[in-house]
Amino acid sequence: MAAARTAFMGLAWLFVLGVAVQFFLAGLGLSELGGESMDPHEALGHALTIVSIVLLLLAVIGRLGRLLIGLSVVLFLLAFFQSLWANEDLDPMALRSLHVLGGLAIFVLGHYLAQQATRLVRGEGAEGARGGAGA
Amino acid sequence: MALARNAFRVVAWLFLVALVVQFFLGGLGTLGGESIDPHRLLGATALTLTPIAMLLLAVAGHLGRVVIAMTAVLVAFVILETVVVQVDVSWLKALHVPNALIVFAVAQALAMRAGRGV
Repeated sequence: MAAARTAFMGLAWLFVLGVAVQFFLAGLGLSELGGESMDPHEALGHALTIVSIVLLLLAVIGRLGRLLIGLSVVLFLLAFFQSLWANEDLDPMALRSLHVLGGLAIFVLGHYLAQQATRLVRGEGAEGARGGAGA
Repeated sequence: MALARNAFRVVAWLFLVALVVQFFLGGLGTLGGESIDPHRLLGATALTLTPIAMLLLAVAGHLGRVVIAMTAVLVAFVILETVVVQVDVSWLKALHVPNALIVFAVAQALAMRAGRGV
């Protein structure tokens, strides 16, 4: 269980970093800004969706509690819907702007999950240290 | 001093809400098939001037070194946001998007601190 929690923490921070890179790749791919290909952004987006599934599994295995498991579900759903919001055939087109807001929500939620997991893991470490000192 | 602190708190949260609107307007202009002008207007006016007002309020309210420094960083990143879109280097222009994320993160940290009474 402790290993799953530590893995969740590490992966959650990597996820946050990945989202930041994803924002850069989006800027690079937009014709108004970087003018490069959008393919790297799309590829990383798919990878981040898979990572969000792994995070959810780790949250369940590590028994991170209802709140963090629930929020991991929300994170997965937000990541999953990102590709739907970006669909060029979406009607009305204005709905596509939710892709940007979704990215922001994913960053905020991912950061919150990483912070909470860090507190949880550090709290366990501190408890372990106190227990060790007392024994 | 208390007035400046309360004003900072309110303005910090309003700025954060305005940033969310700005992200939406950015999406509407680039993906939603609408004009990017509202995004440009909000960015060039309220979102550039508000952090400067926040910095003045942080100093007037004696909000401490950390908050004043964080607000100064916010001002710098907001100015950077308008500068990078004007250069002719593609990867520098691309920084407009992740830089917005940094602006949001700093603004969120400031609003949270202000909400806790700094």
